[in-house]
Amino acid sequence: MSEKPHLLPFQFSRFDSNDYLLVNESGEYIFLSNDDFHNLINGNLPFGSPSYCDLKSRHFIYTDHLPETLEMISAKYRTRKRFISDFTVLHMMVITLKCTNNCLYCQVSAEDDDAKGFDMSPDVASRVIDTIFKSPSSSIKIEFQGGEPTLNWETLKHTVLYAKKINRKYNKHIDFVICTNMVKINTQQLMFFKEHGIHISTSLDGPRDLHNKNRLLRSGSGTYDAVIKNIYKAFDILGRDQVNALMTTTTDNIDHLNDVIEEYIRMGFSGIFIRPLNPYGLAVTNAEQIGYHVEHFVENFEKALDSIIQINLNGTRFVEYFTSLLLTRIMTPFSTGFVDLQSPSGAGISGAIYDHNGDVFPADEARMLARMGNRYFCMGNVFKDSYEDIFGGILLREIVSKSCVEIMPYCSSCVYRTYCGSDPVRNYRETGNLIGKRPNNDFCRKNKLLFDILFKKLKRNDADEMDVFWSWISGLSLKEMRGETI
Amino acid sequence: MKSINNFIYDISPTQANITLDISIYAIEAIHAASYAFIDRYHIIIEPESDKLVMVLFEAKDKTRRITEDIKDFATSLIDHQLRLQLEKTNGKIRDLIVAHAFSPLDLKKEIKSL
Repeated sequence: MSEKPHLLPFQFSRFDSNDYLLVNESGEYIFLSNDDFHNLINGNLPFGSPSYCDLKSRHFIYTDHLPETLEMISAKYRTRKRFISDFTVLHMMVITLKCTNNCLYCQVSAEDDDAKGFDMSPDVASRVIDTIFKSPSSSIKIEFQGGEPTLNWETLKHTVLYAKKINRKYNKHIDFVICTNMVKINTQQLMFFKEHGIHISTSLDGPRDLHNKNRLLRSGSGTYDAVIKNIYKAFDILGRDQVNALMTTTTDNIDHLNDVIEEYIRMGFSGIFIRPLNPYGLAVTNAEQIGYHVEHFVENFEKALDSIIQINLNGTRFVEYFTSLLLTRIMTPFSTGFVDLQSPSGAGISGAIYDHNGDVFPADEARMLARMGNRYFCMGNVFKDSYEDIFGGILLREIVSKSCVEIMPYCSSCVYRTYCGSDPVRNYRETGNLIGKRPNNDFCRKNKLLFDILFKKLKRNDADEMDVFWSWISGLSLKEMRGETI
Repeated sequence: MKSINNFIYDISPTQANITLDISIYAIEAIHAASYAFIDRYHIIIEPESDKLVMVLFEAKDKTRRITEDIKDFATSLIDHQLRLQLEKTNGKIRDLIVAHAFSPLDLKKEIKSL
Protein backbone atom coordinates (compact mmCIF):
# COMPACT_ATOMS: atom_id res chain seq x y z
CA MET A 1 0.00 0.00 0.00
CA SER A 2 1.43 3.40 -1.00
CA GLU A 3 1.25 6.34 1.40
CA LYS A 4 2.77 8.78 -1.07
CA PRO A 5 0.08 11.37 -1.64
CA HIS A 6 -1.17 12.26 -5.11
CA LEU A 7 -3.05 15.47 -5.67
CA LEU A 8 -6.74 15.58 -6.46
CA PRO A 9 -8.21 18.67 -8.21
CA PHE A 10 -8.71 21.81 -6.12
CA GLN A 11 -8.72 25.60 -6.31
CA PHE A 12 -6.46 27.63 -4.06
CA SER A 13 -5.81 31.20 -3.03
CA ARG A 14 -3.46 33.01 -0.68
CA PHE A 15 -5.95 33.74 2.10
CA ASP A 16 -3.73 35.95 4.26
CA SER A 17 -0.04 36.31 4.95
CA ASN A 18 0.11 32.99 6.83
CA ASP A 19 -2.30 30.65 5.10
CA TYR A 20 -3.64 29.33 1.84
CA LEU A 21 -7.28 28.40 1.39
CA LEU A 22 -8.01 25.30 -0.70
CA VAL A 23 -11.46 24.25 -1.95
CA ASN A 24 -12.19 21.13 -3.99
CA GLU A 25 -14.92 19.80 -6.26
CA SER A 26 -16.82 18.12 -3.45
CA GLY A 27 -17.09 21.47 -1.66
CA GLU A 28 -14.61 20.66 1.11
CA TYR A 29 -12.28 23.43 2.23
CA ILE A 30 -9.07 23.53 4.23
CA PHE A 31 -6.66 26.21 5.43
CA LEU A 32 -2.99 25.28 5.07
CA SER A 33 0.02 27.15 6.40
CA ASN A 34 2.38 28.43 3.73
CA ASP A 35 4.88 25.71 4.63
CA ASP A 36 2.31 22.92 4.43
CA PHE A 37 1.03 24.24 1.10
CA HIS A 38 4.52 24.29 -0.38
CA ASN A 39 5.19 20.80 1.00
CA LEU A 40 1.91 19.59 -0.50
CA ILE A 41 2.77 20.95 -3.94
CA ASN A 42 6.34 19.66 -3.80
CA GLY A 43 5.29 16.20 -2.61
CA ASN A 44 7.04 16.63 0.75
CA LEU A 45 4.05 16.61 3.09
CA PRO A 46 5.04 14.37 6.03
CA PHE A 47 3.05 11.14 6.10
CA GLY A 48 0.63 11.07 9.02
CA SER A 49 0.97 14.78 9.86
CA PRO A 50 -2.29 16.56 10.85
CA SER A 51 -2.41 18.34 7.50
CA TYR A 52 -1.78 15.07 5.62
CA CYS A 53 -4.68 13.40 7.44
CA ASP A 54 -7.01 16.38 6.96
CA LEU A 55 -6.18 16.64 3.26
CA LYS A 56 -6.74 12.94 2.74
CA SER A 57 -10.04 12.80 4.63
CA ARG A 58 -11.34 15.81 2.73
CA HIS A 59 -10.35 14.46 -0.69
CA PHE A 60 -7.50 16.84 -1.55
CA ILE A 61 -5.04 13.97 -1.83
CA TYR A 62 -5.26 10.23 -2.35
CA THR A 63 -2.83 7.42 -1.85
CA ASP A 64 -4.58 4.41 -3.35
CA HIS A 65 -8.20 3.39 -3.96
CA LEU A 66 -8.64 6.17 -6.51
CA PRO A 67 -11.85 4.72 -8.05
CA GLU A 68 -13.52 4.60 -4.63
CA THR A 69 -12.32 8.11 -3.78
CA LEU A 70 -13.65 9.48 -7.07
CA GLU A 71 -16.92 7.68 -6.45
CA MET A 72 -17.36 9.64 -3.22
CA ILE A 73 -16.32 12.97 -4.73
CA SER A 74 -18.66 12.46 -7.69
CA ALA A 75 -21.54 11.62 -5.36
CA LYS A 76 -20.97 14.86 -3.46
CA TYR A 77 -20.61 16.80 -6.70
CA ARG A 78 -23.87 15.31 -7.98
CA THR A 79 -25.60 16.21 -4.72
CA ARG A 80 -24.36 19.81 -4.86
CA LYS A 81 -25.65 20.12 -8.43
CA ARG A 82 -28.99 18.51 -7.65
CA PHE A 83 -30.82 21.70 -8.62
CA ILE A 84 -30.03 20.91 -12.27
CA SER A 85 -32.27 17.85 -12.20
CA ASP A 86 -35.10 19.87 -10.62
CA PHE A 87 -35.76 21.52 -13.99
CA THR A 88 -37.72 23.94 -13.49
CA VAL A 89 -39.18 24.42 -10.01
CA LEU A 90 -39.90 28.13 -9.65
CA HIS A 91 -42.45 29.67 -12.01
CA MET A 92 -43.19 33.35 -11.48
CA MET A 93 -46.33 34.80 -12.98
CA VAL A 94 -46.63 38.53 -13.47
CA ILE A 95 -50.39 38.69 -13.32
CA THR A 96 -50.49 42.47 -13.38
CA LEU A 97 -48.14 45.40 -13.73
CA LYS A 98 -50.51 47.64 -11.77
CA CYS A 99 -49.39 48.65 -8.32
CA THR A 100 -50.61 50.77 -5.43
CA ASN A 101 -47.02 51.75 -4.68
CA ASN A 102 -44.36 53.85 -6.32
CA CYS A 103 -41.28 52.54 -4.51
CA LEU A 104 -38.04 54.33 -5.34
CA TYR A 105 -36.16 51.11 -6.14
CA CYS A 106 -38.97 49.30 -7.99
CA GLN A 107 -37.28 47.05 -10.53
CA VAL A 108 -40.37 46.15 -12.51
CA SER A 109 -41.62 49.57 -13.70
CA ALA A 110 -45.07 49.13 -12.23
CA GLU A 111 -48.05 51.00 -13.61
CA ASP A 112 -50.77 53.03 -11.85
CA ASP A 113 -53.27 50.93 -9.93
CA ASP A 114 -56.05 51.91 -12.36
CA ALA A 115 -54.00 51.49 -15.57
CA LYS A 116 -55.54 49.44 -18.40
CA GLY A 117 -53.91 46.71 -20.46
CA PHE A 118 -51.43 45.42 -17.91
CA ASP A 119 -53.40 42.51 -16.44
CA MET A 120 -52.90 38.85 -17.29
CA SER A 121 -56.27 37.46 -18.37
CA PRO A 122 -57.57 34.15 -16.97
CA ASP A 123 -57.12 32.64 -20.45
CA VAL A 124 -53.45 33.57 -20.55
CA ALA A 125 -53.06 32.30 -16.98
CA SER A 126 -54.55 28.92 -17.94
CA ARG A 127 -52.15 28.63 -20.85
CA VAL A 128 -49.24 29.55 -18.57
CA ILE A 129 -50.30 26.85 -16.10
CA ASP A 130 -50.53 24.30 -18.94
CA THR A 131 -46.94 25.19 -19.86
CA ILE A 132 -45.72 25.10 -16.25
CA PHE A 133 -47.05 21.60 -15.71
CA LYS A 134 -45.02 20.32 -18.64
CA SER A 135 -41.92 20.91 -16.51
CA PRO A 136 -40.35 17.55 -15.61
CA SER A 137 -39.82 18.66 -12.01
CA SER A 138 -41.89 16.77 -9.45
CA SER A 139 -42.17 19.99 -7.42
CA ILE A 140 -43.62 23.22 -8.73
CA LYS A 141 -43.62 26.57 -6.99
CA ILE A 142 -45.94 29.16 -8.51
CA GLU A 143 -45.11 32.67 -7.38
CA PHE A 144 -47.52 35.51 -8.10
CA GLN A 145 -45.72 38.73 -8.85
CA GLY A 146 -46.58 42.15 -10.11
CA GLY A 147 -47.04 45.00 -9.83
CA GLU A 148 -49.27 44.12 -6.94
CA PRO A 149 -50.84 40.73 -7.77
CA THR A 150 -53.88 41.19 -5.52
CA LEU A 151 -55.00 43.94 -7.94
CA ASN A 152 -55.83 41.19 -10.44
CA TRP A 153 -57.76 39.06 -8.01
CA GLU A 154 -59.90 37.29 -10.59
CA THR A 155 -56.86 35.87 -12.39
CA LEU A 156 -55.08 35.01 -9.15
CA LYS A 157 -58.04 32.99 -7.93
CA HIS A 158 -58.56 31.37 -11.30
CA THR A 159 -54.88 30.39 -11.53
CA VAL A 160 -54.83 28.69 -8.13
CA LEU A 161 -58.02 26.75 -8.81
CA TYR A 162 -56.98 25.81 -12.34
CA ALA A 163 -53.49 24.70 -11.23
CA LYS A 164 -55.00 22.49 -8.53
CA LYS A 165 -57.43 21.00 -11.04
CA ILE A 166 -54.68 20.30 -13.58
CA ASN A 167 -52.52 18.79 -10.86
CA ARG A 168 -55.03 16.00 -10.31
CA LYS A 169 -53.55 14.59 -13.51
CA TYR A 170 -49.86 15.36 -12.81
CA ASN A 171 -49.83 14.85 -9.03
CA LYS A 172 -46.86 17.15 -8.46
CA HIS A 173 -46.04 18.86 -5.20
CA ILE A 174 -47.29 22.45 -5.64
CA ASP A 175 -46.48 25.49 -3.54
CA PHE A 176 -48.00 28.90 -4.06
CA VAL A 177 -46.38 32.15 -3.00
CA ILE A 178 -47.77 35.64 -3.40
CA CYS A 179 -45.36 38.56 -3.44
CA THR A 180 -47.53 41.35 -2.12
CA ASN A 181 -46.87 44.77 -0.67
CA MET A 182 -49.74 44.06 1.81
CA VAL A 183 -51.05 47.60 1.47
CA LYS A 184 -54.62 46.78 0.44
CA ILE A 185 -54.89 43.10 1.22
CA ASN A 186 -58.22 42.19 2.84
CA THR A 187 -59.60 39.47 5.10
CA GLN A 188 -61.38 37.67 2.26
CA GLN A 189 -58.14 37.43 0.31
CA LEU A 190 -56.23 36.19 3.35
CA MET A 191 -58.92 33.54 3.91
CA PHE A 192 -58.43 32.39 0.32
CA PHE A 193 -54.66 32.13 0.93
CA LYS A 194 -55.33 30.07 4.05
CA GLU A 195 -57.75 27.76 2.25
CA HIS A 196 -55.25 27.06 -0.53
CA GLY A 197 -51.98 27.08 1.44
CA ILE A 198 -50.65 30.21 -0.22
CA HIS A 199 -47.54 31.60 1.41
CA ILE A 200 -47.02 35.38 1.66
CA SER A 201 -43.77 37.14 0.81
CA THR A 202 -43.88 40.84 1.55
CA SER A 203 -41.47 43.75 1.89
CA LEU A 204 -40.43 45.51 5.06
CA ASP A 205 -37.47 47.88 5.00
CA GLY A 206 -37.30 48.57 8.74
CA PRO A 207 -39.17 50.67 11.28
CA ARG A 208 -41.61 53.35 10.14
CA ASP A 209 -39.12 56.12 9.37
CA LEU A 210 -36.87 53.83 7.29
CA HIS A 211 -39.64 51.86 5.56
CA ASN A 212 -41.45 55.06 4.57
CA LYS A 213 -38.36 56.55 2.92
CA ASN A 214 -38.74 54.36 -0.16
CA ARG A 215 -41.91 52.31 0.04
CA LEU A 216 -44.44 54.93 -0.88
CA LEU A 217 -47.97 55.07 -2.20
CA ARG A 218 -48.49 56.80 -5.52
CA SER A 219 -49.84 59.75 -3.49
CA GLY A 220 -46.37 59.98 -1.88
CA SER A 221 -47.40 58.90 1.60
CA GLY A 222 -45.71 56.05 3.42
CA THR A 223 -47.07 52.50 3.53
CA TYR A 224 -45.69 51.35 6.88
CA ASP A 225 -48.85 51.57 9.01
CA ALA A 226 -51.01 49.71 6.50
CA VAL A 227 -48.35 47.05 5.95
CA ILE A 228 -47.81 46.36 9.64
CA LYS A 229 -51.56 46.20 10.34
CA ASN A 230 -52.01 43.71 7.50
CA ILE A 231 -48.97 41.62 8.41
CA TYR A 232 -50.50 41.11 11.87
CA LYS A 233 -53.83 40.25 10.26
CA ALA A 234 -52.04 37.71 8.05
CA PHE A 235 -50.27 36.24 11.08
CA ASP A 236 -53.67 35.76 12.74
CA ILE A 237 -55.32 34.13 9.75
CA LEU A 238 -52.49 32.18 8.12
CA GLY A 239 -50.05 31.68 10.98
CA ARG A 240 -46.66 33.33 11.41
CA ASP A 241 -44.76 30.68 9.49
CA GLN A 242 -46.77 31.44 6.35
CA VAL A 243 -45.65 35.07 6.15
CA ASN A 244 -42.13 36.18 5.28
CA ALA A 245 -40.69 39.60 4.62
CA LEU A 246 -37.79 40.81 2.53
CA MET A 247 -35.85 44.01 3.02
CA THR A 248 -34.01 46.03 0.43
CA THR A 249 -30.88 47.89 1.48
CA THR A 250 -30.76 51.50 0.33
CA THR A 251 -28.67 54.44 1.40
CA ASP A 252 -31.47 55.23 3.88
CA ASN A 253 -31.19 52.05 5.94
CA ILE A 254 -27.66 50.83 5.15
CA ASP A 255 -26.23 52.55 8.22
CA HIS A 256 -29.17 51.47 10.39
CA LEU A 257 -29.31 47.73 9.76
CA ASN A 258 -29.56 47.04 13.49
CA ASP A 259 -32.81 49.04 13.55
CA VAL A 260 -34.09 46.93 10.66
CA ILE A 261 -33.10 43.73 12.48
CA GLU A 262 -34.83 44.91 15.67
CA GLU A 263 -37.99 45.63 13.69
CA TYR A 264 -37.97 42.12 12.21
CA ILE A 265 -37.52 40.58 15.65
CA ARG A 266 -40.22 42.82 17.13
CA MET A 267 -42.59 41.66 14.37
CA GLY A 268 -41.82 38.03 15.16
CA PHE A 269 -39.97 37.11 11.98
CA SER A 270 -37.50 34.29 12.41
CA GLY A 271 -34.84 35.82 10.21
CA ILE A 272 -33.82 38.41 7.67
CA PHE A 273 -32.20 38.46 4.25
CA ILE A 274 -29.97 41.53 4.14
CA ARG A 275 -30.49 42.13 0.46
CA PRO A 276 -28.61 44.70 -1.61
CA LEU A 277 -30.20 46.81 -4.33
CA ASN A 278 -30.48 45.13 -7.70
CA PRO A 279 -29.45 47.34 -10.62
CA TYR A 280 -32.74 47.32 -12.52
CA GLY A 281 -35.63 49.64 -13.18
CA LEU A 282 -36.02 52.60 -10.84
CA ALA A 283 -33.09 51.39 -8.72
CA VAL A 284 -30.88 52.45 -11.64
CA THR A 285 -32.78 55.66 -12.34
CA ASN A 286 -32.60 56.64 -8.65
CA ALA A 287 -29.10 55.24 -8.03
CA GLU A 288 -27.67 58.59 -6.96
CA GLN A 289 -30.41 58.99 -4.38
CA ILE A 290 -30.59 55.47 -2.94
CA GLY A 291 -27.43 53.66 -4.12
CA TYR A 292 -24.09 52.97 -2.40
CA HIS A 293 -20.77 51.27 -3.07
CA VAL A 294 -20.42 47.52 -2.72
CA GLU A 295 -17.73 47.97 -0.06
CA HIS A 296 -20.12 50.09 2.02
CA PHE A 297 -22.73 47.37 1.81
CA VAL A 298 -20.31 44.59 2.75
CA GLU A 299 -18.88 46.55 5.69
CA ASN A 300 -22.37 47.06 7.11
CA PHE A 301 -23.42 43.51 6.27
CA GLU A 302 -20.54 42.23 8.40
CA LYS A 303 -21.53 44.46 11.34
CA ALA A 304 -25.15 43.34 11.03
CA LEU A 305 -24.10 39.69 10.87
CA ASP A 306 -22.06 40.10 14.06
CA SER A 307 -25.09 41.68 15.75
CA ILE A 308 -27.32 38.82 14.62
CA ILE A 309 -24.85 36.23 15.90
CA GLN A 310 -24.87 37.98 19.27
CA ILE A 311 -28.68 38.07 19.29
CA ASN A 312 -28.64 34.27 18.82
CA LEU A 313 -26.08 33.84 21.59
CA ASN A 314 -28.30 35.96 23.83
CA GLY A 315 -31.11 33.46 23.38
CA THR A 316 -33.20 34.64 20.41
CA ARG A 317 -33.04 32.42 17.35
CA PHE A 318 -32.80 34.72 14.34
CA VAL A 319 -31.26 33.75 10.99
CA GLU A 320 -29.48 35.83 8.36
CA TYR A 321 -30.75 33.85 5.41
CA PHE A 322 -28.05 34.66 2.84
CA THR A 323 -25.33 33.69 5.30
CA SER A 324 -27.21 30.52 6.12
CA LEU A 325 -27.45 29.68 2.42
CA LEU A 326 -23.74 30.27 1.77
CA LEU A 327 -22.74 28.33 4.89
CA THR A 328 -24.92 25.42 3.81
CA ARG A 329 -22.97 25.36 0.56
CA ILE A 330 -19.63 25.64 2.36
CA MET A 331 -20.23 23.31 5.28
CA THR A 332 -22.47 20.62 3.77
CA PRO A 333 -22.64 18.81 0.42
CA PHE A 334 -26.31 19.68 -0.02
CA SER A 335 -27.83 21.50 -2.95
CA THR A 336 -29.25 24.92 -2.17
CA GLY A 337 -31.73 26.50 -4.52
CA PHE A 338 -30.99 30.15 -5.10
CA VAL A 339 -31.48 31.13 -8.70
CA ASP A 340 -29.37 34.28 -8.41
CA LEU A 341 -26.20 32.44 -7.39
CA GLN A 342 -25.89 29.10 -9.14
CA SER A 343 -23.59 27.48 -11.66
CA PRO A 344 -24.99 27.07 -14.21
CA SER A 345 -27.18 30.05 -13.51
CA GLY A 346 -30.67 29.32 -12.27
CA ALA A 347 -32.12 31.59 -14.98
CA GLY A 348 -34.54 29.43 -16.94
CA ILE A 349 -33.46 26.07 -15.48
CA SER A 350 -34.41 26.76 -11.85
CA GLY A 351 -36.79 29.66 -12.35
CA ALA A 352 -38.77 31.23 -15.17
CA ILE A 353 -41.07 34.22 -15.33
CA TYR A 354 -44.24 34.63 -17.36
CA ASP A 355 -45.24 38.16 -18.33
CA HIS A 356 -48.87 39.29 -18.33
CA ASN A 357 -49.14 38.60 -22.08
CA GLY A 358 -47.68 35.08 -21.88
CA ASP A 359 -44.10 35.95 -22.86
CA VAL A 360 -41.59 33.76 -21.02
CA PHE A 361 -38.26 35.01 -19.65
CA PRO A 362 -35.50 33.26 -17.70
CA ALA A 363 -35.53 35.87 -14.91
CA ASP A 364 -37.42 38.91 -13.77
CA GLU A 365 -34.47 41.12 -14.71
CA ALA A 366 -34.70 39.74 -18.26
CA ARG A 367 -38.36 40.68 -18.41
CA MET A 368 -37.38 44.12 -17.16
CA LEU A 369 -34.92 44.48 -20.04
CA ALA A 370 -37.75 43.66 -22.43
CA ARG A 371 -39.84 46.40 -20.81
CA MET A 372 -36.94 48.73 -21.55
CA GLY A 373 -37.02 47.65 -25.22
CA ASN A 374 -34.49 44.81 -25.37
CA ARG A 375 -36.19 41.45 -25.98
CA TYR A 376 -32.98 39.40 -26.24
CA PHE A 377 -34.02 37.16 -23.34
CA CYS A 378 -37.57 36.41 -24.46
CA MET A 379 -37.64 32.60 -24.59
CA GLY A 380 -41.01 32.48 -26.31
CA ASN A 381 -44.71 32.90 -25.70
CA VAL A 382 -47.08 30.33 -24.22
CA PHE A 383 -49.51 30.75 -27.14
CA LYS A 384 -47.00 30.71 -29.97
CA ASP A 385 -44.36 28.28 -28.76
CA SER A 386 -44.31 24.77 -27.34
CA TYR A 387 -42.79 23.94 -23.96
CA GLU A 388 -39.93 22.22 -25.81
CA ASP A 389 -39.27 25.33 -27.91
CA ILE A 390 -39.30 27.61 -24.89
CA PHE A 391 -37.25 25.51 -22.45
CA GLY A 392 -35.18 23.55 -24.93
CA GLY A 393 -34.39 26.39 -27.31
CA ILE A 394 -31.08 27.92 -28.34
CA LEU A 395 -31.41 30.85 -25.94
CA LEU A 396 -31.65 28.79 -22.76
CA ARG A 397 -28.90 26.45 -23.95
CA GLU A 398 -26.69 29.49 -24.49
CA ILE A 399 -27.53 30.89 -21.05
CA VAL A 400 -26.60 27.58 -19.44
CA SER A 401 -23.40 27.07 -21.40
CA LYS A 402 -22.20 30.62 -20.71
CA SER A 403 -23.03 30.74 -17.01
CA CYS A 404 -20.87 27.92 -15.64
CA VAL A 405 -18.33 29.54 -13.33
CA GLU A 406 -16.16 26.45 -13.71
CA ILE A 407 -15.15 27.66 -17.17
CA MET A 408 -15.72 31.42 -17.03
CA PRO A 409 -12.74 33.80 -17.16
CA TYR A 410 -11.51 34.76 -13.69
CA CYS A 411 -14.20 32.59 -12.02
CA SER A 412 -12.55 29.35 -13.15
CA SER A 413 -9.52 29.95 -10.95
CA CYS A 414 -11.41 31.59 -8.07
CA VAL A 415 -11.14 29.69 -4.82
CA TYR A 416 -14.81 30.39 -4.06
CA ARG A 417 -16.20 29.13 -7.34
CA THR A 418 -17.53 25.85 -5.87
CA TYR A 419 -19.94 27.91 -3.76
CA CYS A 420 -20.63 30.77 -6.16
CA GLY A 421 -22.59 31.33 -9.34
CA SER A 422 -23.20 33.73 -12.16
CA ASP A 423 -25.87 36.13 -13.31
CA PRO A 424 -25.88 36.12 -17.12
CA VAL A 425 -28.77 38.58 -17.35
CA ARG A 426 -26.92 41.12 -15.26
CA ASN A 427 -23.73 40.46 -17.22
CA TYR A 428 -25.60 41.09 -20.45
CA ARG A 429 -27.08 44.32 -19.13
CA GLU A 430 -23.70 45.56 -17.93
CA THR A 431 -21.43 44.42 -20.76
CA GLY A 432 -23.60 43.31 -23.68
CA ASN A 433 -22.64 39.62 -23.33
CA LEU A 434 -23.67 36.75 -21.08
CA ILE A 435 -20.22 36.05 -19.68
CA GLY A 436 -19.59 39.58 -18.47
CA LYS A 437 -16.38 41.10 -17.24
CA ARG A 438 -14.76 40.52 -13.89
CA PRO A 439 -13.05 41.28 -11.52
CA ASN A 440 -14.46 44.77 -11.30
CA ASN A 441 -18.18 44.13 -11.52
CA ASP A 442 -20.25 44.68 -8.38
CA PHE A 443 -21.65 41.15 -8.44
CA CYS A 444 -18.21 39.55 -8.25
CA ARG A 445 -16.76 42.06 -5.79
CA LYS A 446 -19.72 41.75 -3.44
CA ASN A 447 -19.74 37.96 -3.43
CA LYS A 448 -15.98 37.67 -3.00
CA LEU A 449 -16.04 40.08 -0.07
CA LEU A 450 -18.92 38.21 1.56
CA PHE A 451 -17.10 34.88 1.15
CA ASP A 452 -14.00 36.53 2.66
CA ILE A 453 -16.04 37.48 5.74
CA LEU A 454 -17.43 33.99 6.17
CA PHE A 455 -14.11 32.23 5.63
CA LYS A 456 -12.42 34.54 8.15
CA LYS A 457 -15.04 33.39 10.63
CA LEU A 458 -14.58 29.75 9.67
CA LYS A 459 -10.82 30.08 10.04
CA ARG A 460 -11.23 31.70 13.46
CA ASN A 461 -13.48 28.74 14.37
CA ASP A 462 -14.96 30.48 17.42
CA ALA A 463 -17.04 27.88 19.23
CA ASP A 464 -19.99 30.22 19.85
CA GLU A 465 -20.12 31.48 16.27
CA MET A 466 -19.85 27.96 14.89
CA ASP A 467 -22.69 26.80 17.15
CA VAL A 468 -24.88 29.60 15.78
CA PHE A 469 -23.93 28.76 12.20
CA TRP A 470 -24.65 25.05 12.67
CA SER A 471 -27.97 25.86 14.33
CA TRP A 472 -28.95 27.83 11.21
CA ILE A 473 -27.83 25.11 8.83
CA SER A 474 -29.43 22.27 10.78
CA GLY A 475 -32.63 24.08 11.73
CA LEU A 476 -32.00 23.16 15.36
CA SER A 477 -32.09 25.59 18.25
CA LEU A 478 -28.79 26.70 19.75
CA LYS A 479 -29.54 24.65 22.87
CA GLU A 480 -30.24 21.56 20.79
CA MET A 481 -27.00 22.16 18.92
CA ARG A 482 -25.14 22.27 22.20
CA GLY A 483 -26.92 19.24 23.61
CA GLU A 484 -28.44 21.36 26.37
CA THR A 485 -31.99 20.06 25.95
CA ILE A 486 -33.32 16.94 27.59
CA MET B 1 22.31 40.87 -6.72
CA LYS B 2 19.15 41.37 -8.72
CA SER B 3 15.90 42.54 -7.14
CA ILE B 4 12.45 42.24 -8.65
CA ASN B 5 12.64 45.94 -9.48
CA ASN B 6 15.36 45.09 -12.01
CA PHE B 7 12.72 43.37 -14.12
CA ILE B 8 10.17 46.19 -14.01
CA TYR B 9 10.74 49.03 -16.44
CA ASP B 10 9.03 52.21 -15.35
CA ILE B 11 8.15 54.45 -18.25
CA SER B 12 6.15 57.03 -16.32
CA PRO B 13 4.21 57.09 -13.02
CA THR B 14 1.30 55.40 -14.80
CA GLN B 15 3.12 53.24 -17.36
CA ALA B 16 5.49 50.34 -16.86
CA ASN B 17 6.26 46.94 -18.31
CA ILE B 18 7.73 43.62 -17.34
CA THR B 19 9.38 41.09 -19.65
CA LEU B 20 8.68 37.42 -19.03
CA ASP B 21 10.32 34.25 -20.27
CA ILE B 22 7.65 31.98 -21.75
CA SER B 23 9.75 28.90 -21.16
CA ILE B 24 9.15 29.59 -17.45
CA TYR B 25 5.65 31.10 -17.54
CA ALA B 26 3.02 29.70 -19.90
CA ILE B 27 1.21 32.27 -22.00
CA GLU B 28 -2.08 31.00 -20.47
CA ALA B 29 -0.78 31.90 -17.01
CA ILE B 30 0.30 35.32 -18.23
CA HIS B 31 -3.17 35.92 -19.71
CA ALA B 32 -4.92 34.75 -16.53
CA ALA B 33 -2.74 36.91 -14.29
CA SER B 34 -3.29 39.90 -16.58
CA TYR B 35 -7.06 39.41 -16.58
CA ALA B 36 -7.14 39.90 -12.81
CA PHE B 37 -5.65 43.38 -13.27
CA ILE B 38 -7.91 44.73 -15.99
CA ASP B 39 -10.03 46.61 -13.47
CA ARG B 40 -7.00 48.76 -12.62
CA TYR B 41 -4.90 48.71 -15.81
CA HIS B 42 -5.02 48.72 -19.55
CA ILE B 43 -2.78 45.80 -20.48
CA ILE B 44 -1.13 44.69 -23.69
CA ILE B 45 0.84 41.49 -24.03
CA GLU B 46 3.39 41.71 -26.84
CA PRO B 47 5.97 39.23 -28.11
CA GLU B 48 9.57 40.40 -27.67
CA SER B 49 11.27 37.36 -29.16
CA ASP B 50 10.69 33.61 -29.49
CA LYS B 51 11.26 33.23 -25.75
CA LEU B 52 10.12 36.54 -24.29
CA VAL B 53 6.89 38.50 -24.00
CA MET B 54 6.46 41.99 -22.66
CA VAL B 55 3.41 42.88 -20.55
CA LEU B 56 2.67 46.60 -20.77
CA PHE B 57 0.67 48.21 -17.98
CA GLU B 58 -1.05 51.58 -18.17
CA ALA B 59 -2.87 52.60 -14.98
CA LYS B 60 -6.49 53.71 -15.30
CA ASP B 61 -6.11 55.70 -12.09
CA LYS B 62 -3.15 58.06 -11.66
CA THR B 63 -2.87 57.32 -7.94
CA ARG B 64 -1.89 53.68 -8.37
CA ARG B 65 1.54 52.51 -7.20
CA ILE B 66 2.47 50.74 -10.39
CA THR B 67 5.65 49.03 -9.23
CA GLU B 68 3.91 47.49 -6.24
CA ASP B 69 1.02 46.38 -8.44
CA ILE B 70 3.40 44.67 -10.87
CA LYS B 71 4.97 42.84 -7.95
CA ASP B 72 1.48 41.61 -7.05
CA PHE B 73 1.07 40.65 -10.70
CA ALA B 74 4.26 38.58 -10.46
CA THR B 75 2.88 36.77 -7.40
CA SER B 76 -0.42 36.15 -9.14
CA LEU B 77 1.49 34.86 -12.17
CA ILE B 78 3.22 32.23 -10.06
CA ASP B 79 -0.18 31.15 -8.67
CA HIS B 80 -1.61 30.84 -12.16
CA GLN B 81 1.43 28.92 -13.37
CA LEU B 82 0.91 26.50 -10.48
CA ARG B 83 -2.80 26.17 -11.35
CA LEU B 84 -1.82 25.22 -14.89
CA GLN B 85 0.60 22.61 -13.59
CA LEU B 86 -2.05 21.17 -11.28
CA GLU B 87 -4.54 21.13 -14.14
CA LYS B 88 -2.02 19.26 -16.25
CA THR B 89 -1.50 16.74 -13.45
CA ASN B 90 -5.08 16.13 -12.43
CA GLY B 91 -7.35 17.96 -14.87
CA LYS B 92 -8.46 14.63 -16.33
CA ILE B 93 -9.45 13.49 -12.84
CA ARG B 94 -11.59 16.61 -12.54
CA ASP B 95 -13.26 15.74 -15.86
CA LEU B 96 -13.89 12.20 -14.62
CA ILE B 97 -15.48 13.47 -11.40
CA VAL B 98 -17.90 15.69 -13.32
CA ALA B 99 -18.66 13.09 -16.00
CA HIS B 100 -19.26 10.36 -13.43
CA ALA B 101 -21.52 12.67 -11.39
CA PHE B 102 -23.99 13.01 -14.25
CA SER B 103 -23.51 9.79 -16.20
CA PRO B 104 -21.92 6.99 -14.20
CA LEU B 105 -18.77 5.54 -15.77
CA ASP B 106 -16.68 2.45 -15.18
CA LEU B 107 -14.16 4.38 -13.10
CA LYS B 108 -11.57 1.59 -12.89
CA LYS B 109 -11.47 1.37 -16.67
CA GLU B 110 -11.41 5.14 -17.11
CA ILE B 111 -8.59 5.58 -14.58
CA LYS B 112 -6.46 3.00 -16.39
CA SER B 113 -6.68 5.10 -19.53
CA LEU B 114 -5.51 8.31 -17.81
